[in-house]
Amino acid sequence: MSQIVFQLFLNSLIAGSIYALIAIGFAIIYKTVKFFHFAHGVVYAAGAYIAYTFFSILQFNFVISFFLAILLTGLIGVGINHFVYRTLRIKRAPNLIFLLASFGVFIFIQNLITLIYGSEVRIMRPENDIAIYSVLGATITSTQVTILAVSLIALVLLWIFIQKTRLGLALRAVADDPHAAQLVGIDSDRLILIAFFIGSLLAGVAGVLISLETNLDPTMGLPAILKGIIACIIGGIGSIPGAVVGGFFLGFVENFGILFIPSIWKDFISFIVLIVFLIFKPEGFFGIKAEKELI
Amino acid sequence: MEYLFHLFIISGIFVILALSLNLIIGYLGQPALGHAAFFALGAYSSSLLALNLGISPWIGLFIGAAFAAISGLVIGYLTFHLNEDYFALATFGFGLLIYYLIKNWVDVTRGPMGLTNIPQFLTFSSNLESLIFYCVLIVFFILLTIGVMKRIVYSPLGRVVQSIRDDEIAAESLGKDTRQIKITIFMIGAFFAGIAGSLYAHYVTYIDPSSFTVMESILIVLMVILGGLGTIEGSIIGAAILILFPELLRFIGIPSAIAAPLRQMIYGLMLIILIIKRPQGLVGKYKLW
Amino acid sequence: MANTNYGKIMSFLKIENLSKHFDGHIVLDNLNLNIEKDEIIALIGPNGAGKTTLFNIISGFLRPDTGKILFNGKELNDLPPNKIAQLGIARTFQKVRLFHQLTVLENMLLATKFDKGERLFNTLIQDPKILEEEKENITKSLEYLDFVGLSEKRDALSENLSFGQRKLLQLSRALAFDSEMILLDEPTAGVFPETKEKIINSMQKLNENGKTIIFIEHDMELVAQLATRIIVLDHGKMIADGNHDEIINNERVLEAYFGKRKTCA
Repeated sequence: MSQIVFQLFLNSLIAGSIYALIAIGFAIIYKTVKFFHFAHGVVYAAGAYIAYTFFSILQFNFVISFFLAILLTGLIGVGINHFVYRTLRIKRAPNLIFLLASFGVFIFIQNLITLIYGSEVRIMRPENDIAIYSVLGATITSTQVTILAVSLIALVLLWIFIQKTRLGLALRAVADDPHAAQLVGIDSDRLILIAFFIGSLLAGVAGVLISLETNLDPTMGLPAILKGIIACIIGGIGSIPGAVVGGFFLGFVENFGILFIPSIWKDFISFIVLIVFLIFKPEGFFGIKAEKELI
Repeated sequence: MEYLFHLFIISGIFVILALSLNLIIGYLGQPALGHAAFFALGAYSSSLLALNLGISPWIGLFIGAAFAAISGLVIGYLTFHLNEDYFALATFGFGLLIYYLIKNWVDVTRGPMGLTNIPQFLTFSSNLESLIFYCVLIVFFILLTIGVMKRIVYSPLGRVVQSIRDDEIAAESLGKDTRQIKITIFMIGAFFAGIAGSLYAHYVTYIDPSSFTVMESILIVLMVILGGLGTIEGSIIGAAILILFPELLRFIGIPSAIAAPLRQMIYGLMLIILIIKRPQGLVGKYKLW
Repeated sequence: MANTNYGKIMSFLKIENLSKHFDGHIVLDNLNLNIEKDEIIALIGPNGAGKTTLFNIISGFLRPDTGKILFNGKELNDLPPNKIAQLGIARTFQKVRLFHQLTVLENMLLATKFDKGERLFNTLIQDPKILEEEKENITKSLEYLDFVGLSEKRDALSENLSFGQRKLLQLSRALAFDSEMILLDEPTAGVFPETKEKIINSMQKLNENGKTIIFIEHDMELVAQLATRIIVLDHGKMIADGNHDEIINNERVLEAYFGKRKTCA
């Protein structure tokens, strides 16, 4: 029994770390622009496909493909902000409009991926020999170890950045005070650009990592962004630590949830979690109000 | 020739969908992004009633629509206290939830295999007669939808609905029970989407989850935005353009492996451009923002 | 049923021990107030004193942390804003809230009573009473618009009005709502003198018609001209309550506005 529990624990960590990466990128962006950048999901997918292109098609070394992919993904995020959101920001559009535009971007890019790569799945497997380790009766593959390790390194690096740099300080403060960026000498447009770069880069990391384990398909962005948003809502929208907590929480609930319900319904778990939080605790664990501002 | 009738019917179904969503987005001003859920609920409940219980489609039509309306009541009740962005996400999530439900609840809905041999409203000896009947039926329901919408919208109640769109807080300060009105309008929109669903199911006689995805929800939103918020002509034009346009692509001879994603890319682009450049759509009376 | 209040004088609006804080910052501090019918009360105080917050709590848009609000003996605390409005409290907002994509006349009509017209069933069956209501309400609305000089603009979209016209419309709309008490949040802020005149006339007419008014103002001349009673708030506390002469020489009031310096009045 305890083997099963430990296996589920490991699986939860792995899933949770991916969700946390997606969520934290989303949260960083949200903090600076205050709307739901739904297209974050498709940025994640783009990261996976770009890595696939470099590694599986162009036969570059995997590590190089990884770094190229995440950098380009960061730039894609910056591009989306520059061409779509910035225009709307200048026109002072309400938040909802940004969300709708974000859907438009999502649809555009997802179908661009479909157009280029086709709708059949792709497989990216950098390792031919996958070692399997046994830990406390549970199994974990070397690929999974890689995923876990890279996610944790990324999260730690991000933590250092947020806590120890001026930019990080500006990012943390900007939710409370929109002029926070200026207080540390950074212009707010630039802060937004940086948030999009870093957030999208993290999405790229998640996208590439997940593709080591699962197949790539052009629609992979939708479940990803949903989980990311759910994780952020659980943790409290706009809270960066909340995103991490929410991501792992979701990973745990999903994986332990299958002890109680048939695994076909696994995707439903995240929905149920979302609905429960939206109805009863929309501000999540570290929350910010989701109810209508009355005045 | 028969194909043109078919296009007319499908366009007509989406006209009803666009009209019903326009009531919610254009007049009430609530960003409901999961309208395909009501479309699906109408289609599936009407079909299942006919297939499993032998209930006539004529009755199933109204039961399906009522079921959609009740779902609208529940979802509206649960989500209308949320702010705009969350409401948009919640309704989007609801749309996705219904899609997952019909895809995974294989025992009832046969999942991806779909429901086949759905009984029609009336059987005819020739295909042409059947198509003509359907065209007439669709026109009837479009007129019904327009009639109900006009009555609501050009009335004191319609004014209250729009006041909620423009400034809900001011509406409340004038004594309006905005929560109840929002839920009521949402239910009406859901009801007509359910009718469209039944009409669709008993026409094509085969339905599967792929007709009820989140893309369909966004497509209907696009129709409303393209045509323009708050006008009936707008919804008709928007629906017609977005149904007929892909046919144009096929006509030119673009292979469907390219046409399908290309079409969606154009939709995505249209959404962005409309939002940025023309929030009142083609013939809209109110601006999206 | 024995009415235990029989014989006692009930305040029209009674505020008991009202407190409110935002993020640890106290906005209203144990406020106690009794307001009687037909008073015209000016609510003044430096910015941030809690005046608009008080309005928001009375009208139901914010919930207090502690305390009670009683209107005609009825507790308002748990009621939604629309119910409070129906009980007889109208208000305007500091940031003018109009139905921007509707016309001036439509804005007014939304304040008038439509017992049948706003019901779904009656609307669907096209109840002829609705047309009657509409006619009456249009007449009534036009009267109000006429009084403030906005009749010509009746079919203009309210988003196309000038600032002064928008303030007038918001005020007229609140008047047309015809409630016993009306809360006006800075009714003359930012308007030209002609518009100010019209607003003052409207407020005077209101009171003549038996309405109780509480208005937030920074213009002391206006306060002197209109108010029968002045309540001064500072940092969420009531620091003075009286007529004009009492207030203008009150030490605490002067201190609140000008700091610990004596200025020549």
